[in-house]
Amino acid sequence: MNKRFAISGFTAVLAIAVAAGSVLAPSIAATPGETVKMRQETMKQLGGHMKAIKTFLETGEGSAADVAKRATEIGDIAGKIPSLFPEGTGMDKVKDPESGAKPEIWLEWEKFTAAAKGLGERSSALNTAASGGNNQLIAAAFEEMGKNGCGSCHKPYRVKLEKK
Amino acid sequence: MGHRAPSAWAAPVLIWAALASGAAAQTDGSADAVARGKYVFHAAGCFGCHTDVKGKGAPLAGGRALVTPFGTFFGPNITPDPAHGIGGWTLTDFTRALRTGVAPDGRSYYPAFPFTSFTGMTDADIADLWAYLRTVGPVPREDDAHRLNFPFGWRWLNGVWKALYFVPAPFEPGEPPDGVEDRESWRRGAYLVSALSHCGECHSPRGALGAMRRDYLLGGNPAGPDGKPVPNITPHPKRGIGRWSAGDIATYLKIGMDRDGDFAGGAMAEVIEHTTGKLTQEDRAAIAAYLRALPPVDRAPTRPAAPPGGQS
Repeated sequence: MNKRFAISGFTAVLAIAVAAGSVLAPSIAATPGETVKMRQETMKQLGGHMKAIKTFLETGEGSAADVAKRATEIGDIAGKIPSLFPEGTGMDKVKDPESGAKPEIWLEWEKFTAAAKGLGERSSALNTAASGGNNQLIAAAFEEMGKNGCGSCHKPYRVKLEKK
Repeated sequence: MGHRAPSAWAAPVLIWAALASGAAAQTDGSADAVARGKYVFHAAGCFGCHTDVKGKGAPLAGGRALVTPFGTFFGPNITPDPAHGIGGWTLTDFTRALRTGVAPDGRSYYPAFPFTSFTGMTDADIADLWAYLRTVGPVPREDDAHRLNFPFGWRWLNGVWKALYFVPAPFEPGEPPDGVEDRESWRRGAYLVSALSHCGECHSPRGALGAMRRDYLLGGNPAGPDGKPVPNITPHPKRGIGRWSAGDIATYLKIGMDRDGDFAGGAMAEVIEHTTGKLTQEDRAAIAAYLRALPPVDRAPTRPAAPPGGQS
């Protein structure tokens, strides 16, 4: 009973944190499963920013200022990526929820964290472009960040899970 | 002064060459042909199967493993090395290989080499691709032998396979379905998807003998390269990409970002890096236009295809 309450309490805190748009670094208390869940929520948040920026570039919905703000938030998330991947939370270790994080992450930890840092740098470039307000430059910075920022981790280190 | 002299005789020679053979104009290895050929090379996705990226192999020198239900194939060396690559080939040999799946020595290729799609390549694309491949640095790397399951190691079976499943033919896109606005773009998309970029080779399920199931064309493949399921890319709203806009598809093909803002990994990330990301915006739009006008296939990619003849 107590345990169940503790877990649902955790989930509630997680939900609030995610809703508030902040990112929690996994505390020592988080189980590997909870960490995986948290990082998946964080990645979804990241995806949401990416989607919104793409929509702005395609349809003009939103504003360059909003893109700049989202770029900053993407940078914040990028900075927290290393702490979202503590050892023992790869797809070989955690089955509930299923994870797509390849064990190579921990074999090549320095390359992995460098890739996360690269995302942070590219998000700064996007922020600069968005502050300038030129859509062509924003599009170029966005594509560069996606392809070589997000892509640089997803290509070597992530397995896409089947949608359920 | 001196450097001008060659053009005095080069021009008549070139004209003669062009007159002597209709094909000569396309195969002279001119800078234009090479540049066009490089684009064809990207669009045809040659790099992926012919380069052992994991083993840090030289570009196009072969050795990349392709794990399939029939065994493991190793892409061969297609650099112009005369002994180990295709340096001793002629354009005629090259055309025959792409169009009919037959090597210069008369042996048949396995359909892991997508000649069933390349058979529809245009003469111009083949000649340009050939011109480009001649400019790649030769690498003296010997091909690895395929490691195939019994009885697929019997290469002569490929001849039987071809008699059953393969008709060499130029690509005919036919007429676009109703509702397609830019018919020229649709035709270009049809050519890219079906012939040159051979999307169906991974995105369609295969029957027991490895032939693409044309009745489920582009409807997803439970056992793609490396044994992973490959998604249904027909416009079925649930099973396929029916909810993707043309812009969603084009963005995905350019940078790898899907509708959820998520990024591709695995085999498709390679395709995006080496093929679709290097195409023109118009060609990506053409692919999107063609895919969106396909008949939707109601089939989950993880479900194995029914055996051939299992449905009418």
